[in-house]
Amino acid sequence: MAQGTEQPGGQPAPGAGDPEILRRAQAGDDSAFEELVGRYSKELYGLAFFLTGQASDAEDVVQETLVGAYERLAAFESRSSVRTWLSRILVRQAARHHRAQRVRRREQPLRLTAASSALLQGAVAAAPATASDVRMDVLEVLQTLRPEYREVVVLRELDGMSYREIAEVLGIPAGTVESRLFRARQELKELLKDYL
Amino acid sequence: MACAFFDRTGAYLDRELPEAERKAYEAHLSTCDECSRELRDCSRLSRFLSAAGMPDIGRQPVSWKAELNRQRMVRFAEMLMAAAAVVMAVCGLWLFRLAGRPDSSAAVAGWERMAVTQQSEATPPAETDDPLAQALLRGQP
Repeated sequence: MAQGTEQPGGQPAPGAGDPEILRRAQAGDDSAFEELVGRYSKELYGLAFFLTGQASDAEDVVQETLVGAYERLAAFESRSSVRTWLSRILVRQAARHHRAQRVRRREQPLRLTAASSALLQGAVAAAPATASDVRMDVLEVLQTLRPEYREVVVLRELDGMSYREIAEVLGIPAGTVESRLFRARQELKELLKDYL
Repeated sequence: MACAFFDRTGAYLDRELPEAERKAYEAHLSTCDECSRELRDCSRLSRFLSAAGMPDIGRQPVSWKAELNRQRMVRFAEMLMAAAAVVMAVCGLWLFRLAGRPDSSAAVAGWERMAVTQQSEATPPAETDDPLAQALLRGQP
């Protein structure tokens, strides 16, 4: 996502870029911060939804993220993009939520919907009407991963971040991002072996 | 897993390999069934995961301001409680030290004696009092 030129979800954002809005927000203009919230809240909510696995937890995490960002506005030095900065705060807030949760071990075999099954067997795209089915399957599959694996998969596969951006968000080297993604994919392949 | 390229498949798929490594991986693919299969499986897995898309937000706009105000109220209440606890602790310590002071009972006893003395002087015996009571109040045997 180009900085300040697109809204989360791929919608174009009219008006000023992030750095200018951020400067206004840092100068005490609350409406500028609201503008940033408008730009990123959908993306942040999506990340929180897949990281926590619950819509209600996702709302809490997004609220806490925005409150944290507002209170740390003055300290933000623009060394990373606004998107990366917000994502970093969100991942930490989500980690606080899922620290208390244990990884859900499946007691019954995974049963995916036909749409998900078709994608894993080589279909190029899912029909729009089946998107929510696929989303629920993906959510269920992600909850079986350890939090550190779930984070890299969500940031890469669902948010489309580069390894460098993921490394910035998580505060780890890019090589560690690659190795975590490799292990996460091996675990997912094992889980989904009946469908691949 | 003997193939040295196998664990770079994800980075290739994610377009994260430098140019030289990418070309080497592609040249290797035509000779390695294991890596070809891995690339196919990772591609399908990636397509499945990315097809989930981002869900619609629960409510708009996100009520971060209400949460900010709530957190500020909680912090203010915590500060008040901490201040009250400090005041109570200081008062408790002061009372404890006052009670344990060695001359405190003497000071109180002296004050009481003075009050009793003043009361005795302020209430002269009445004519109607019992003779013994009049004698006691005057301090005479």
